[in-house]
Amino acid sequence: MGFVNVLDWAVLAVTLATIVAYGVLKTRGVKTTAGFLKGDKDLRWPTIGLSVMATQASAITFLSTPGQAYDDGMRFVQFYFGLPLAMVLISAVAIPIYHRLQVFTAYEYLERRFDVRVRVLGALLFLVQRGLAAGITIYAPAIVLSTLLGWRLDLTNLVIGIAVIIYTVSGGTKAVSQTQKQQMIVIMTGMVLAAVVLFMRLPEAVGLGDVARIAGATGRMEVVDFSFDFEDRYNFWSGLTGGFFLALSYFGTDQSQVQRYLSGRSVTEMRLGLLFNGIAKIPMQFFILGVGILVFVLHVFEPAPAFFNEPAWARARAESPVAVEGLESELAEVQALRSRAALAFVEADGDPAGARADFEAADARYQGLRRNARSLVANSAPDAETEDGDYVFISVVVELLPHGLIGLLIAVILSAAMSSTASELSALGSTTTIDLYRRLVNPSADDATTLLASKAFTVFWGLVALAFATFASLLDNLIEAVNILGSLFYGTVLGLFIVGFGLRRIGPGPTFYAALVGEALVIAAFFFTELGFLWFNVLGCGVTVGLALVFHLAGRLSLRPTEG
Amino acid sequence: MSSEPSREERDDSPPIMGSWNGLYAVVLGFLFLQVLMYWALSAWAS
Repeated sequence: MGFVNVLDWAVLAVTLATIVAYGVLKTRGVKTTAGFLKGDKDLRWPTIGLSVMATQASAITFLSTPGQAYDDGMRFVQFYFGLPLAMVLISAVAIPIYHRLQVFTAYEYLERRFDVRVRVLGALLFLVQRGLAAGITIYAPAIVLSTLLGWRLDLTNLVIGIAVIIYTVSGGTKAVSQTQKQQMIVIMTGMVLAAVVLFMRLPEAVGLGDVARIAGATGRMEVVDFSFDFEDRYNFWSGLTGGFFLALSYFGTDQSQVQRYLSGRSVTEMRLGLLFNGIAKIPMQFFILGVGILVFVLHVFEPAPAFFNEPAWARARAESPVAVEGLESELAEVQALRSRAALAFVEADGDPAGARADFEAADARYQGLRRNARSLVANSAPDAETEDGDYVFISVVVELLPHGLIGLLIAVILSAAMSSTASELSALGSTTTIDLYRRLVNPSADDATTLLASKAFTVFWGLVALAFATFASLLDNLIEAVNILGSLFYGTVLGLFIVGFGLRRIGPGPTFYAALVGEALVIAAFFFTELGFLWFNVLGCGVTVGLALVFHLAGRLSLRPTEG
Repeated sequence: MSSEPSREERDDSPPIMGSWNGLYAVVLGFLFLQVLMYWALSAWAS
């Protein structure tokens, strides 16, 4: 496991220490609650835009997305097609309202529009969901890095968590935004350099167009699919509609995102920051997926491991040595055949039909052997993860990239983890302070007390996230569990805001009870039906909005004087 | 409470394109252009 040398450690340490120091120094002297929670509202749109993007792009984005393209191709980019629409709607409708009400949190709006019950309900739903998700944001990259590099999981968790807590508590939301700007620069520099180095390693005859054709021959370049299929997770229609609702909910009502643009100096800066995200997000995801395609094509010409999660593969080898050896030997043979066929396909520019068919056949054999490797892992180590997509990119980084760049790419992963976690902790701290502590527990708190409470709650949530990340390995299917947990609450919260913004005649009572029923129905659907968890978002939102309307109309009818 | 944007907020024009609706059209037009490009890429490479 000696992948990381002194140069890598130096690059990693200097990069991360610089970012943390920059965050602390640039924002020292924050002395008011407004400064801590809204950054004195002086951010310009480039910082807001990068901060919004950095909050959404967690470490797992940079670990998983290239692996997704490696196995499944570019079609995942369709998932983001609804995002620009959501950015436009939030810019046009939500931002002017948030700005005019001068709110600290999105849930404050719910009290101004409805009453304190609705506000507290929205805040609690956010705290439960995001509190657990913050632990995963730390744990997910830590488990991959510790598995592959042999690092201690608890120490990796601690380094990420403590570094984030230091600058988030020191400088508040402005420190989060300022460090995210640096982190995004590190992330994009690292990914671009990785792409260049991977491309340079390809055989001389293989150009960028050939990369697309080789990937295309295996079905990995079907970027847009207009066929309509409810069971197909990624197509144009599901991306446009499902992606729209998800982005509307996440960017419009989740405090970890709302807090990013609330610190803008004007409506114009906030809107431009979000619209920047609407323009840049899809090309960024396309590029990260493209890196996965480069990794795939590189492995067409250079041998790849049968299974990218090396420790899991080692367990399979210990359990079934003969089967593993046989599979590796056959894989090497097919790999050589596939590599020759790919070169012939590249060189047969004029009449590629026969060459393409040979390459497709060789690749089909290769993918069959990859599936056999997964089965071997599943049979020999039933508790091991049988999907190795999260390990594809980081394996290539440590195996094929030069030293120094390895350190930078690990800094990319850790930066991404830190940037998302910082937004989450800042949002959790501000929601606990503003929507619960100052609203319900100590309404007469002066500014110094509120500031102290904000910092204390941010530390508290940091420790909760760290504890969850430390003990997360005791749970099965953790990431899926947290995704399901998020979907249990997101729809209801979105429903509250849709009623608030769009159905102005409906009052607090119908909305509150509709949300309670909606949430109960979602939880019932989780326990008693086989409904896919992404549909919980639609169900929660639909029931909350629909029932609020029904309760409102029923209330009006019952108040109408009877005739005669 | 009224949640209508104030006159000042409505008139707060963007630094480019002259109006917010113009800028929203640019964002959505860019989305359309990307879908078209990705569709063409899919057809060419597959």
